Amino acid sequence: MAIYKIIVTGSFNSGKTEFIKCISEIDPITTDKPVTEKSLKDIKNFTTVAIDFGTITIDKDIIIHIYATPGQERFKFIYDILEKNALALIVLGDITSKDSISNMYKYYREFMKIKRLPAVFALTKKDLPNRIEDKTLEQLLSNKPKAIPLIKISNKNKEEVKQAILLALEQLAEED
Amino acid sequence: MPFKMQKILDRTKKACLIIEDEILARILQYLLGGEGFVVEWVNDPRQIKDDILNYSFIVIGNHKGITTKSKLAEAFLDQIKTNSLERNFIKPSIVILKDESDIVPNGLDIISITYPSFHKEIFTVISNIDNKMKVLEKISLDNFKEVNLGEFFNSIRSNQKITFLVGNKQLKIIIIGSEINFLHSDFDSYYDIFNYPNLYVSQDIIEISDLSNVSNENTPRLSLKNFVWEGIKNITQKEQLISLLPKDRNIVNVKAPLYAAKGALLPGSNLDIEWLMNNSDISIDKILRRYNYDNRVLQNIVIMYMLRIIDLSSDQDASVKFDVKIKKGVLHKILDKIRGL
Repeated sequence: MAIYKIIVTGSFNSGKTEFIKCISEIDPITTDKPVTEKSLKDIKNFTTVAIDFGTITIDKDIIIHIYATPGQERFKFIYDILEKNALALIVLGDITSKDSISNMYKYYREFMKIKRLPAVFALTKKDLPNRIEDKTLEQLLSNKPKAIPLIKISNKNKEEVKQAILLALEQLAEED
Repeated sequence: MPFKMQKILDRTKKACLIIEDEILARILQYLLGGEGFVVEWVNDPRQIKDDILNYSFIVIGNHKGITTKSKLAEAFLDQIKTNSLERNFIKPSIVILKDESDIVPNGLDIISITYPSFHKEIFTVISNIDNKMKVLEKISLDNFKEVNLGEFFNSIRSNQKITFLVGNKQLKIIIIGSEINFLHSDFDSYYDIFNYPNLYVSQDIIEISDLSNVSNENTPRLSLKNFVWEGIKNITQKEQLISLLPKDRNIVNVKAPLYAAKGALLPGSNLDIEWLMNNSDISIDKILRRYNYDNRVLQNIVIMYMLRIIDLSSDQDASVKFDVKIKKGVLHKILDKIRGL
């Protein structure tokens, strides 16, 4: 049985757990715990403290594990654990949060230091009314390498979540 | 051959060493053996097997017996005196190896020489060489790894004990918070390590015993920033500065907040940090071009890299060259499956 991994990362409250829930064929195993940091508590009550996990079975010999890494800085060490057999990196950013978007490149860079993976930047919660306008988005993402695709998704919409994953994986297919 | 004559000939060839020091005894055995002596060596006078009169040369050094060297020599002399009237008797020569504390009475028929110590001195030197070799051996086994100094500083975290090694010179430091405590240095100056872009380092966890050094007010200490400042500010060679940066990674991104980035620059710096922050993914060469290849700007880039104010990445990071190994057939199976979900 060959196991490959897709890594989903992004800042706190960028929608990683929902992203996995949307695509996984099993009920995702989540490790959400109440938020303890005062500054973050106003944003959401629960956050992922270890890792979220879902699967996609390709056939009897191949399975994809999808991992969402914790958003907080202190969990960066998990990247080292996840990189083996990783195929793609999905970097999520909350389209309603400037901080979340401006941190996307940082998360991308941190992972790329460990392993160069095909990546996609996906802005989540695109249906929310308070989303940041495109001009500001452009400024916030000015450091995004041009070759990395950018997509706006609703992380509760399976087709759009699939699209984000495919955009990352198709980069591997384009390689000679 | 008459019995008496035989005894005389035998006696002329025999020497007795009463010495505890095995190395000295062996040296004397070698010397006397070369002169045709049959040498007997005991470390306690009670072990002497032959009649003392049958030895022609007796050396008394420090031994395991209960009498002093002088008393032992006197006892031998008494025996010799009793037999000295006999015809053809050749008096044995008695030599005392004299320590500073030994009192050898004047007038006795004894030769007194200063206790030889050259062999000990030689062995001390040999032992020092041996210890140095052991240290070197230990060093080579102690997880030392070759690093680029700039990249190493960029990677270090707080609360570590670090040893830098260049040749046989070491600099040992402990980093607590953002402060460096200098535990030991074989260098003329702590900043000498900045002259070696490639050197060996070992990293260890801090042990309780190290904390006493840290709390000792005599332990020299300096902030990490000041250490890097002092080390870099005197490097004027462009090539030397460049050698502290990772090869093939020349795209600059400021990752620290503005106040931290400003604070990391050398006093009097002309580098516009706000401009740099607003120009992500800019190459080092482009920055230097803007400042007419001013060495001070390069110094600040090196400092900011070592202090983790900036990230350096490769031009190729954005290209589609990945560290992923997967057969195309497998990849297409995965793509098809996901498309059909």
